[in-house]
Amino acid sequence: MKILVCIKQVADLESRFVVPAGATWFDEADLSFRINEYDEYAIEEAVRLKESLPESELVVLTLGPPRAAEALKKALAMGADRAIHLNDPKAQDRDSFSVAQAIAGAVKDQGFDLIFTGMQSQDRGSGQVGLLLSELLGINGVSCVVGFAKTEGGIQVERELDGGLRAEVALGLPALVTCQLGLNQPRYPTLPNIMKAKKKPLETIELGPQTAPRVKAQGLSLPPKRGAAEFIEGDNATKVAKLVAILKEKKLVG
Amino acid sequence: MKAMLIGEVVGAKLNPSFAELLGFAGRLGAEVVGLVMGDTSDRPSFAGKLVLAAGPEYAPQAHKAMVQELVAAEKPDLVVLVHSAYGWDLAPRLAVALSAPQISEVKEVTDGVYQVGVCNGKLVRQLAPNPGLTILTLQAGAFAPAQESGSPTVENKTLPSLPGPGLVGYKSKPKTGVDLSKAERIVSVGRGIGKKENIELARKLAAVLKAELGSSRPVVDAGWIDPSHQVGSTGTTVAPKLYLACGISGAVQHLAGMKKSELIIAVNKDKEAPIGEVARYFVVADLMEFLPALTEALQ
Repeated sequence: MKILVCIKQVADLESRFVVPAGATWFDEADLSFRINEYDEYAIEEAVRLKESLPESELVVLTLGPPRAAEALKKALAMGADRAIHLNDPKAQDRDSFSVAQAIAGAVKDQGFDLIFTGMQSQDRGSGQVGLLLSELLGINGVSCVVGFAKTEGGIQVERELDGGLRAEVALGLPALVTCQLGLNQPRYPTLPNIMKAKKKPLETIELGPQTAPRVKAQGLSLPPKRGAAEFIEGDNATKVAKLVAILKEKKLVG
Repeated sequence: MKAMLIGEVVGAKLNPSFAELLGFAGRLGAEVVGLVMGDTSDRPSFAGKLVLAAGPEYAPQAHKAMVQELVAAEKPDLVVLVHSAYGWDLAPRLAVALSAPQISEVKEVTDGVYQVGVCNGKLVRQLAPNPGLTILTLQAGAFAPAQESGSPTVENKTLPSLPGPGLVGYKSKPKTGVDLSKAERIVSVGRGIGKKENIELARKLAAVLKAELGSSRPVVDAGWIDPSHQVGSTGTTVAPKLYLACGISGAVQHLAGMKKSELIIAVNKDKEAPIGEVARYFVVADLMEFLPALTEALQ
């Protein structure tokens, strides 16, 4: 079985984001980057499947600027066999369709039986690229997956719906699955595996100029302050005293 | 302006969020064509046209084909769904089939420019689609539901039978543990609690406040707490008198499940955490120091 997992490197969301005047994306200077959390579940599920099917190959792919190669190295250390970096220093200017189109172009002739991706990225959160890719490749696709099982001739997955309900869905191969948080427990790479990963092949493909996006980014801004949260600051004792007073005033404590 | 609104059917019931789609169309003054796919006897009321397509409620290839057929006939400017598991799954398929731009989880629109939250709601992007048909999914709860009135003219159709992913059945998460939906007070923990052992700090505070213990999704996913404690759109939706959010940053899905609480108090190190959008009070503090001290003061 040939397995592909598509991942994205994103900024740490705990960061303080700075948007330069007139810019459509935040300034990346001084930020730290990591694998998109949803994609870690995708990698883990793909590695487990590969481990259960000895004759299989697991390829990890990302589309991103040069820094994104680090994410591929971690995926290799988690258990992927080789990596493909679709390098685009201006990747942030692409819309979801443009990303999916570039990935489809790179993998369409490689005969993957199963493709895993995260169900969305933590930064843009559009949740589009996975299913755009399966549609462009003309294969089965299913989203929001919290349960995965290989069956005779296909797969059966559980999709997470609102309010704790799950839908069981069956589909044939080849297929693409987008992974929701909680699908598994992603592993931490061990030191020996990190060392081994350094010897695994990482191919860099330079992407050509971008075509015009279908959706144009016009701006990026801080959200309007809707809430009127009152900040309680100071030393610990002061904060505790203030909060106790509030709880008493609201008659939540005696 | 003409909008095709696609309803979601789960368990033979039309999701009431259809009223939010109508509210959105109303805001734009758009003519409405409703499309409901699946076997349901629920009928939304509105002025316009309603197409009822009988067949399975989850069969993405058949649903896509039905939308394609209807878009060719009706020529709408917008195809609109709720950004739920259904809209999430169908919209990108439509974007490819219809060669149309797609914008996800829209929370506001002004003069054809759509606003969407990014980076866990810390930033807002302004997006403009190319001219022509656009596919939209709307953030749940972002647009006020329409006060529905009128009865649409109904056209009945049948979904085609096509190969592709198919629904086998539904199952619920096992109903064990706590029932948060009726709790009057909730002390809720998020990823900021750091590790499983630290949840005890929140549990002790909850005991003193006579509150139930809630959590955000990452705490459940990490296996630190039973899933019955999860608050949010994919967990339990709550509206207690007191919601004390400890180390919860405030993902959209979490906010959707608790923002109707009467009094929301956040405790967080990060002053810019989106939970501040819904909190009345925001204690800027380290949980390890603050929670034990608060518990002691209340004892």
